Amino acid sequence: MREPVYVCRFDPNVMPRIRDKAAAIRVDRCEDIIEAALAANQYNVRLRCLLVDSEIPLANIPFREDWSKIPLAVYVPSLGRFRRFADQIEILRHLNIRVYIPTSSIESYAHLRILSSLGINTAIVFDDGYLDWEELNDLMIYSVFGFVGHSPIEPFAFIIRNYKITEALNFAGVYFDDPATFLHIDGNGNAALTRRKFLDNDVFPLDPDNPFAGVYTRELRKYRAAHKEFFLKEEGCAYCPGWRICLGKFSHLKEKGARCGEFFSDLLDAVERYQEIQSSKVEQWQP
Amino acid sequence: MATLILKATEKCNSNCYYCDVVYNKKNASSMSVEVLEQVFIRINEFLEDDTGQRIEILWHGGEPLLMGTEFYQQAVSFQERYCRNTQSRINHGMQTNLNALNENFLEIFKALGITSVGTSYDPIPHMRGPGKNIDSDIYNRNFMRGISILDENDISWGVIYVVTRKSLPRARDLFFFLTNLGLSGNININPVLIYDSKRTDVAITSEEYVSFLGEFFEFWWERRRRFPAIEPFRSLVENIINRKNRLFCVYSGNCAFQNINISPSGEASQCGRSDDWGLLQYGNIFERSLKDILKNPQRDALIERNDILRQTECKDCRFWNICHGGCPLDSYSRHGDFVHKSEWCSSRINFIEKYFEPITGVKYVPFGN
Repeated sequence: MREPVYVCRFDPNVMPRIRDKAAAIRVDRCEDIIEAALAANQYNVRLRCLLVDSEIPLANIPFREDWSKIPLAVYVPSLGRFRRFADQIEILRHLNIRVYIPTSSIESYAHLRILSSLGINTAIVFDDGYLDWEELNDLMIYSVFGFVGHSPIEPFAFIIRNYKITEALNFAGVYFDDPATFLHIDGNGNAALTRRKFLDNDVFPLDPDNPFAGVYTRELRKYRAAHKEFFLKEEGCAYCPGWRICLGKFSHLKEKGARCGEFFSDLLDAVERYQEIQSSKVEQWQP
Repeated sequence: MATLILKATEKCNSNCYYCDVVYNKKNASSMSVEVLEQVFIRINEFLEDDTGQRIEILWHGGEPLLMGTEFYQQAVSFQERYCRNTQSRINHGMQTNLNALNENFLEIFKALGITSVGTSYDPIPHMRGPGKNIDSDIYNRNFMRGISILDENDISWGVIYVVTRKSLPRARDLFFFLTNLGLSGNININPVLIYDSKRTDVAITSEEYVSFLGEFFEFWWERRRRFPAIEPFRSLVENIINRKNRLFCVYSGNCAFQNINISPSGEASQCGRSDDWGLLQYGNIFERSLKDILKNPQRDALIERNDILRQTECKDCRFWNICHGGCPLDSYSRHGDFVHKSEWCSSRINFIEKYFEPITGVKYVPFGN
């Protein structure tokens, strides 16, 4: 088993726990970015990224050029006013950033496409309250097959990079929520397998210097076994053509008639088609 | 390679709806340590006599895990004691419903070199499970726990799905369910075989099986790169499209000299089915060597069957090379002899003509013998 990447808050109590470790550090305010990056450097952290939970729209964030060497995952509620955002484009293109935008409005899909077409890496945050599977499908087709150059849209790009045709794939790692890769820890010696469990205080003790000695392995096994619960129901996600990519993430919506199954089935077909095209591509001769 | 089907016990922890064994074996017995010891003595004798031979032991039942870890520890010891110089030519496999699997068996699997197991499953309620009411909840939970143990320990597993009347309207559901299980071995789609069972309400006709298989095949063909290992599709692709001769025992026409079934009391017979029916009994391993058992003259009837069928019911059949009249035991169950083709033979032919050839666009052209 690989050593996990730790996800934690930027907090003086936590930093010593991730010394010499791989980590994604959550900062509450953009103003803390430089300080957090310096602290990570001081503790010799292999910084996966700084996670910024922004309450203000992307357009309103005062991006700085001296963030250019810091990997950033910025969660924003929306793009914001386009005129204001337009002033940010140039600097955003020079940052090592992925912008996470929720599907909380119909405009989100267009905003994701705009950002991608401007060369800015993005990720869709699936918002249960507003998920338009048709729009999502269009965005997926654009992401996978769009001829005009554009930056990756996650989780599609992750799936394209990692999908193996005979295996299921969990894309929750895009959101730091795949417990086989990420572990959420606090400053009190606790860890949780997912963000949700962390917020619910569903934690277990963990020593980052020796993660596999404690209950982590058992918890991980339990987490994986919990997926088998889907197969004990008489209908639902286990019978779905899209299961091997979705792994039941939208089961609560499926029960309400969501068309998630069709979407993930189309996604599988698209990814396989893309991989086929790539593998059969003939290098164009050059004069 | 000879296959030794070791029926470690006739006891089972599941009361599968259509299973004949439950009816026929009211006093189910289990293999004694003495019989187990004799098995390994005979195996060594056989392998020493023919240094080019290998033996595959398939632990079978009933439910073989009910024998517990101690029984298999004995098997490991006997193999080490009696087959010191031949054990590199012994492979082990197991057919189990996984319900009794626990971590303690992992050491046994490791010691016997078991890296894959066969199992069986049906998500349709009350088809598999313990007790009078066939409690599928218990079976299914235990099964899922079992495959978690296998997955965590990199032991590959395949599954047999038995098509019953209840499966017929659910081909699509079942296709995705079974493939979503993420198993690393084969999925085998077999028709339910109803003989003595009173459960005729789940019986299906050959035509119904073909329709189910055809629907299943359409899903598979589109997605065959995702789930390559579904039978009988994969072997048909191998034989018809890739023109490689790969046939399971029932279609091979040469099962006569490959298999030995050993009952808990050490009685040898042709296979599990023949043992259940008291047919093709070749004597006890305390009295006969495996070599003798494999050369038992009763087996000639199975070879002669090939010649007879080619002149009678299977004359001019273009599918002979990939069917060979099907399982001789099917012939026996219907006609009381081995000289007829299997009633399921038509299902194979109909499936190929109605679904396989049109969907793949490849027509079967016989090759080889």
